[in-house]
Amino acid sequence: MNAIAAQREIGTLYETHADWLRDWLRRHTQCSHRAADLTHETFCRLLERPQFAMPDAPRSYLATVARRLLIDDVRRRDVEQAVLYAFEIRCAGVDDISPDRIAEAFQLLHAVLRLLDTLPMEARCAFLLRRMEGLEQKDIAIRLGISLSTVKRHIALAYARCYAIAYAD
Amino acid sequence: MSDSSDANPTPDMIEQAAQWAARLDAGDMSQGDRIACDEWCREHPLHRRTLDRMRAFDARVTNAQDFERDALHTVLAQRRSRHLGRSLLAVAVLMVASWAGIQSDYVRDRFPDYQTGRGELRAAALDDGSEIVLDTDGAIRVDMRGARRQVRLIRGQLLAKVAKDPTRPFVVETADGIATALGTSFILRREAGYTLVTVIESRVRVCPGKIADKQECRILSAGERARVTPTQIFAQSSVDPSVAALWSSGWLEADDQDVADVLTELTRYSERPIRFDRASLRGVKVTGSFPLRDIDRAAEGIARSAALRVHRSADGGIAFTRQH
Repeated sequence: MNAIAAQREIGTLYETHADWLRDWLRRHTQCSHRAADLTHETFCRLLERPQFAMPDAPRSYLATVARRLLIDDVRRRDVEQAVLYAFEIRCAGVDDISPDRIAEAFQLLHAVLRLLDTLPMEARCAFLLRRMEGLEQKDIAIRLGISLSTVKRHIALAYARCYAIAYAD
Repeated sequence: MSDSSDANPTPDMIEQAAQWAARLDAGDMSQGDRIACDEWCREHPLHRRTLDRMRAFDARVTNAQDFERDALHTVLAQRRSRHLGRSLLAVAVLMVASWAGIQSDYVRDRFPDYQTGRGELRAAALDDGSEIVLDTDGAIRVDMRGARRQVRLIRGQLLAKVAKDPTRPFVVETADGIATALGTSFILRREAGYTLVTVIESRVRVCPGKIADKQECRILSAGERARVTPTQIFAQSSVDPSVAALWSSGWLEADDQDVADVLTELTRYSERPIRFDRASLRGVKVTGSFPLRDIDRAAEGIARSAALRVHRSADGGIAFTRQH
């Protein structure tokens, strides 16, 4: 299906099912703003895809796409809430609460979490022990009961993946 | 797309740069190793740039500020507990078919963790160092196991004294809304149709309904109060925080208030009936501090201050009337 035909099909899908999707999302989020945003995003995602084929069960298909976006959205909000809360607790009373600084914190957390999502469990542990707890690589080897060269390999994997996340978008 | 192949490192370059970065990070490179690393960097302009970029990201994470680390801990703990919650639920559903209602507040509210009878005041020490003082005829549920420290006020009034933990928010919720502690001390009181939040110390974020990040949330400071309903927050007049928390030390304080309101409040603490005719007591004011542990003394104190008569009936009830 070429791009123009795809757009037309997605348009039809929108006309037939957007209201249903918005209601479905409203029930799941209990917020009509978010429901509207996520409905919009769902259809945007469909338009962005290189291939589109009219699904056999459109509502189930739309719900699947929306569900994934909802999970991403919830995760994003968790991060933002956690940052704001931690900032309140640690830095409240400091006069210059710069929105840019908060935005930087969001970005850092999103990047680290994306990195962690791509790493296998032992590499994730090694990374957190090294960067968050400040353990030396040789001490990580002792702590995890693995060889120093394995630790080095895990750290190297984290470096390689972090490059992909931070620079290759 | 064709000349950006010069601007982006190949997968091999990324892999090699990552190896060098990991070895530099271990800090155990020999003189020979360091020379080899320099040579590799000089082989191609992208080598050094890729390595530098990796180490820059590294530095950003290592130099993260305290609040950023706290936030990361919080999110990781949340993800872990969500994951756990889901797998436990799966096991429970397989084994016990009929407890579908166990997840709902309706059922769980019938099994409070702490309760008080009429006239009872109870302090519950939580295992994170926080304390909940529960007023007369109250009931709460507590859940400190997860990524959020949670208290549910089912009925009555509580004073929360929160131990600071930047990685775990302390949240008190009712059927009307959610209060997140941004500091240390606040009061929640359930009324018919709304929950009243009074901040005693520091700040609290108050949200209507079940979701803690709606745009309608507000942050209240010490002395500020708000009524919370499932859909909206209504600001109330400010109070003196030390007066607002007096009930938690066993005192009912009135400052030139309608005696009918004060008696209504006293009723909450009394196991015996308190009788008065609101219409005939209209306009009568009372001022003073009255002991909640001793209803008789409190009644006498109120009667004296408001120039009312008190008499006790056969069923132990206390009746207030105007002096003629």
